[in-house]
Amino acid sequence: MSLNKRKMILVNSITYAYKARDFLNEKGIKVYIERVPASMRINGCGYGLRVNNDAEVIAEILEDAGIKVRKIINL
Amino acid sequence: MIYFDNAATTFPKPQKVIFEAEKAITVYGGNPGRGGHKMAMRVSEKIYEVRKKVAKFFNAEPQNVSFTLNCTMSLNTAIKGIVRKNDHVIISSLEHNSVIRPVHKLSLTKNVTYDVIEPVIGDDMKTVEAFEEKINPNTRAIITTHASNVTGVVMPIKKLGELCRKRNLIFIVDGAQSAGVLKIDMKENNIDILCLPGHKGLYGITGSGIMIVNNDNLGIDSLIEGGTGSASAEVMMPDFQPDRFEAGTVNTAGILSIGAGIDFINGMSISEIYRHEFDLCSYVYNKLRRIKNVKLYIDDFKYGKNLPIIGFNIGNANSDSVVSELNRYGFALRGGLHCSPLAHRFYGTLDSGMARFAPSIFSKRSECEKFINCIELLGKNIG
Repeated sequence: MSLNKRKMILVNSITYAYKARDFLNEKGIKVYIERVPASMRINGCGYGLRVNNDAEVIAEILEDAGIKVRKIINL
Repeated sequence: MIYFDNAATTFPKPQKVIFEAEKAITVYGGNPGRGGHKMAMRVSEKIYEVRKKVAKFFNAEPQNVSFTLNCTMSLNTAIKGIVRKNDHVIISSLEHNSVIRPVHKLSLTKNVTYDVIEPVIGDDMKTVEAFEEKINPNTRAIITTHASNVTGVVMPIKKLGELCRKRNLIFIVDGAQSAGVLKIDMKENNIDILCLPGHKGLYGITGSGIMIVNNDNLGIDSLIEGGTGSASAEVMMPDFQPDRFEAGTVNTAGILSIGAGIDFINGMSISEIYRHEFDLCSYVYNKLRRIKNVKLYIDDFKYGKNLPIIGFNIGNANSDSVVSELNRYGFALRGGLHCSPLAHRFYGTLDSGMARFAPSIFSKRSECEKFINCIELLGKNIG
């Protein structure tokens, strides 16, 4: 997987990022919490989940679990 | 010094709490939720771990746990955040100033009306009926302490929670004295907002508090606005928890100490802690009853109905002079009104106040025996 295919799932806050990460880890999905790059922010500072693949599927899993996904961005 | 002022703040703190509070300075030095470097992320994760512990302890969701500076700040946020112009609220006559003062201020600034209900001690149904009788179409919330910080009398929060659910009212509980001593299950008790100090029964350090909002539909306004590390280009506070209620840098040392305190409690079990403190209070209560000149304000000391707190007086002496004498003999107790004039009005002790005996898990039976010996001595010389 090349770096330019990585994506980031933006959530409301760092608390939701950790909640999402724990939830996904329980399902065997590995994600990494990072600060959203400045050029890709929606409304200021924030945190997201960096994923190596299947960002849309993961986002759907999160939405189904009640964790709001704000946007998926390409890194 | 033998410390029996644990209803004010617990002392000593468990070693693990001290260790964690120190680590907040020496290890977790970054600013949580404010940056992306390793130190900021490390402390952010640590704080999230505590959020999870608190949530599990009170049966809530981690994102609904907000850290505040004390229980008073939590109560102010909850009360001022949900009560609207011309609303009506119902509180008990055992409330601390952290409830009556914000409620009274709202009566001046927002035309809010309120009723103060005297609990019927020993009859929970009658207490709940007294609350229900005061509900009117404008009633927005019932706000009650879980237990009196003056006499330890426990309020029937499960029944009051059922009443609030039935009548579609918001239920706010002040768990200042009960958290860490009695189990509090927010869902089981239909509690919408639970307000807590970190430094009492949860064994954290002073300057730490918690507000848990277990209802996503309350639309609570923020009490303080400022930076949250999220949605920072917006001029409005975020509409999601916990950020909405955590403006400014949080108290990392306080939060970590709460996590360690909860670990300490879980390491023993909450019922074991309550049993130990209850047994000490039962012993002291039954001894005090037999000392001539000692006035007590509850008829019985019952498991589950009383927190480990005993309010008392000696003769006609003012409680402040009683605790002052006790201080001379090496005992730390608090006298006066305990910031709860409503409760003292209820018990008829607005003038004298009460001396308050409050042990912790670290208190020993031998210390209680020394305390009783001292009270016997003072009973002969005072009043």
